[in-house]
Amino acid sequence: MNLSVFMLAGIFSGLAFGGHFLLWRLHRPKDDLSALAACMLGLPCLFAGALLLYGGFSLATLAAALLLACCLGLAYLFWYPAAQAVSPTMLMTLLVAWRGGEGMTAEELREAIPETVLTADTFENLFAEGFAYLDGEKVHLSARGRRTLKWILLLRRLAGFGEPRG
Amino acid sequence: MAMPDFLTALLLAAAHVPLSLLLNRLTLKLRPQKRDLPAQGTFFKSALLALLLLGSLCPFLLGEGPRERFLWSLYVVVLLGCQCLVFISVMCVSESGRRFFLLVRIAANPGVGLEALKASYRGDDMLTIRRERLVHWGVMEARAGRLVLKKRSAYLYSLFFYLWGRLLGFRWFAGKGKGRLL
Repeated sequence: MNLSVFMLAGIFSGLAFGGHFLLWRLHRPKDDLSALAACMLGLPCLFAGALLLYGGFSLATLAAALLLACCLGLAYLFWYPAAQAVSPTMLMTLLVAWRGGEGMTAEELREAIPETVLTADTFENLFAEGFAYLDGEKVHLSARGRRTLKWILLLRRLAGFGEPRG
Repeated sequence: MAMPDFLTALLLAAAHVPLSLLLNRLTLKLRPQKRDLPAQGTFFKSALLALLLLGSLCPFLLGEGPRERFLWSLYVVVLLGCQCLVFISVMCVSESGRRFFLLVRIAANPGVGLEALKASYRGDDMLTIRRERLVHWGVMEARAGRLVLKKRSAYLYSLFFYLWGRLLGFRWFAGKGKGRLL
């Protein structure tokens, strides 16, 4: 193990975050999550492949650096929706915190966060990201939706948690 | 860099998943939570404990010489730290993520009508359950009918996400009816 592993992982991650930031500022993709996965996991893999062919690094060094960068990217992939979909929990925390010691009543909070903010893109994103599809007026889970649901519910069960409450 | 060391690091990273799950189940057994309002942070703490346990093995299993051992330990700790972040995010998304919750609803009612689905998950329900959860976690407290922030770390965490969202060009709205940019 040497420092070049960390240095390479830093370069891979920098490339991934740079690509993500630029793409989002210039033209945000409709299917956020697939584009983000391509930035966070695809870009480092491509760069590592090029370095393997022309960079003179050993396979183990590149694999270790790539694994580190992909783990960082994966962690980011999972916490990105909170920033993208305007997490209501965080929005409530911010609004209450900005009122200081005075705080807010439930009604004030309800008025401050209109229905449109809470549900605006939620349904559209569900279809745009391919988790569900519309058959006339009826909603069905897509293969991607079923897969996601299966794995996350399995992890929850293994961790000892019950059904989510939304 | 030695390949066997890299494979050992991979094994340690793989062992982190079942160990975290096991520790979480043990924690839930020893300190039962309110079942319908699980503390998502419990799983993060279990994952951190698993990280400490596995991380402490690194100097004995990886590298030759103090410098190599230190670098390998650092590598494994960063790797497992990322896994901890994935765990907490998965737990948060699966518990309170709106899209995920809708997937659960659709799976329970295949072929549900779009309008019926929208009607079954309204803003009021979202705010009520989140208010209960924030008070249950001790992030906020209810004083004479008013919610007041208790945990500053939760505010800083939310502020970070808000600023990052704004930096990426997302618009966080709040306000009466028409919506006011925060």
